[in-house]
Amino acid sequence: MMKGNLLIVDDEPILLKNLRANLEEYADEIFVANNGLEALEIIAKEDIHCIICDINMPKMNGVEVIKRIREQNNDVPFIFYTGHGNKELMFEAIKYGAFDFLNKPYFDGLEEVVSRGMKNGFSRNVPTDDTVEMMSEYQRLLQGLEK
Amino acid sequence: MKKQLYYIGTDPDFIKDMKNYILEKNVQVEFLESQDTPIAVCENSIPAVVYVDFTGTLDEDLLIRQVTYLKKIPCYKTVLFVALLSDEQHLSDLDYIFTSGFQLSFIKGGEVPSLFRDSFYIATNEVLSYPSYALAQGLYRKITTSICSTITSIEANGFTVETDFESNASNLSFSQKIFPELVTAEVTAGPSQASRYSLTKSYQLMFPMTDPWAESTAFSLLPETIETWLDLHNDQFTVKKDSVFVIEASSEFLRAGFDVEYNTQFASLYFQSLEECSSMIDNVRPPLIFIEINETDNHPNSIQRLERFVAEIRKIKAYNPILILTNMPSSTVAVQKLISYESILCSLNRMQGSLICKFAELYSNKKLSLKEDTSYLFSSSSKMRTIDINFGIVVNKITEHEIFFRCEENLPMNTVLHFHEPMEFYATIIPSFVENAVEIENKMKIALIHGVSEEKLEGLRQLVNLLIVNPNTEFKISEDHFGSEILENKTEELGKEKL
Repeated sequence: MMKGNLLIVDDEPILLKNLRANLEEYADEIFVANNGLEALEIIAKEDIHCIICDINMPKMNGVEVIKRIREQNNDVPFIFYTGHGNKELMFEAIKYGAFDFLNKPYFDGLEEVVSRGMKNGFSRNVPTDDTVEMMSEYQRLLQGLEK
Repeated sequence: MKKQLYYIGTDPDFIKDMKNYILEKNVQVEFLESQDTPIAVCENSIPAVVYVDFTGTLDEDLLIRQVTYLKKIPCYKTVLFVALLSDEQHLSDLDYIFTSGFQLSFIKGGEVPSLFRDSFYIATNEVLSYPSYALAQGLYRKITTSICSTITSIEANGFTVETDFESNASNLSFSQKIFPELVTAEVTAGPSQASRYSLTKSYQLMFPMTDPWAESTAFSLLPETIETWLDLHNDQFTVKKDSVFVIEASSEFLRAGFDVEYNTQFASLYFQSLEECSSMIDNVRPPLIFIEINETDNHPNSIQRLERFVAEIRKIKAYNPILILTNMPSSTVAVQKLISYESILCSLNRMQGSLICKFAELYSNKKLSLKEDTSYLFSSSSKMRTIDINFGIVVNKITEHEIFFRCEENLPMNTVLHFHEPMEFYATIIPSFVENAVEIENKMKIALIHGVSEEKLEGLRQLVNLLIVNPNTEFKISEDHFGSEILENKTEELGKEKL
């Protein structure tokens, strides 16, 4: 079964290596980029289904990357990992359609989030109405209230 | 930009009279006519005045419901809604309109120029050349008047009212239609902020209950009497217990908000910004809040403003509403994490009326009301909900057009009063025509008289003339004596006195 391609963007080589190793089973192919410009080049050439990106990078930060990608009408799911003090950048990222946020350095729930992101990215060419998803989430919230 | 005046109705003569006056006086306004609803005329602009004609074939109930809904929306609070009625009986039948957002009335057949000047002044504070009315002054008559108010709900041992009356008194005196003998009641809570109607204050009042062991001459009620009344008048109530807030900047979903109000068990309150609704949150505690997110620069409904809004919500104990964000490109989970609030749902789609109704319906089906409420809530179209809260004033001056008085109470502008002396009429509090330091010092208030037929106005005119001649003239016009008869009688009396 096809899983899709994942792109990891970070300026720290050790983190790139570790993430790649942890996420191998969740993607058909994993691409890595050391900065935003490299990421844009990969996206221009490859069919990427999900991006996991450090929000705070020198030169071109994660928000700039998502902004440039969205300008190309590409709505690929974007998972940002963020550290303490990145709230302003997170607010900026939300405007461009962030899929999820992960806390650096613990990456709690990394595999689950990436798995959802890949699934979402793989099916994004199929026209869907997100209100259906919202409605089921709503039902879940209502059930929670009932309890 | 020219101020817009809308007429909703089907009376070509009224339209002609208004247009003639505007042309004749060269008033710089845009007069528009429509046979559509108040929401339709307010959807794309905010008119200064909307004249709603109840004498034609338009659906009376729908007109009133829509004005009630619109006047609760902050950006429409400035719109003056004027009710055009066929006669005084018609006004008496619809007296609850003054708590539904109407602040001026007009009995057809009266002077259209006068209506135009009055409504224009209330809406814009611009004075158009008024005729000089005969003025009776130096009167100092102590009378009781009342402020048009509404009962919003009835509980087993009391009732809740909404009003523009601000008082810290332990009792309120009033007249109402439910138990007409009940004219005073103890305030058990309030004043707090009103939320059902476009009024400012809310009070809870206690029914004086019959104590079988005590001898009492005052009017009191048995619990069974209240229960029987509630059973017999079940059609006056609505099942709406909870509210939804709809926050959307462009008024594009004004109609959708009304659909919720009309078609679901929810009351709907519509706001243009998160800030606008913040002050109402604690009081109303809506379980569902729909927010159309807008991320254009510094927009009041941006996600950053939402974070502050959520911080306000968190301060309210045992309150955890579901926030439904539309026009939101990010996922639910991303926003939940950013705002640190779990009951958030996001959709990239724009807000839709059908979606709001669907959410409200599902919520109602689960019977999850946040309020443990056993009250009977009056329908906004119930004619039984009117309550006139009494207070004392001292009338200093009067013309056939306005009444000047002093009172201790703080009355907001455009509050509608119901006068019973010198005759039955309604009057709307207006700013002073002239900045007069003495009058401000004396807490002098001015109210424009309306809701009077031409025939009765003649009676008032003659009373004013009599008061000018003799300030001691009785401050009363008998319901049975209007027109020249009253003048003849009074001048005869005066003649005798002089002899």
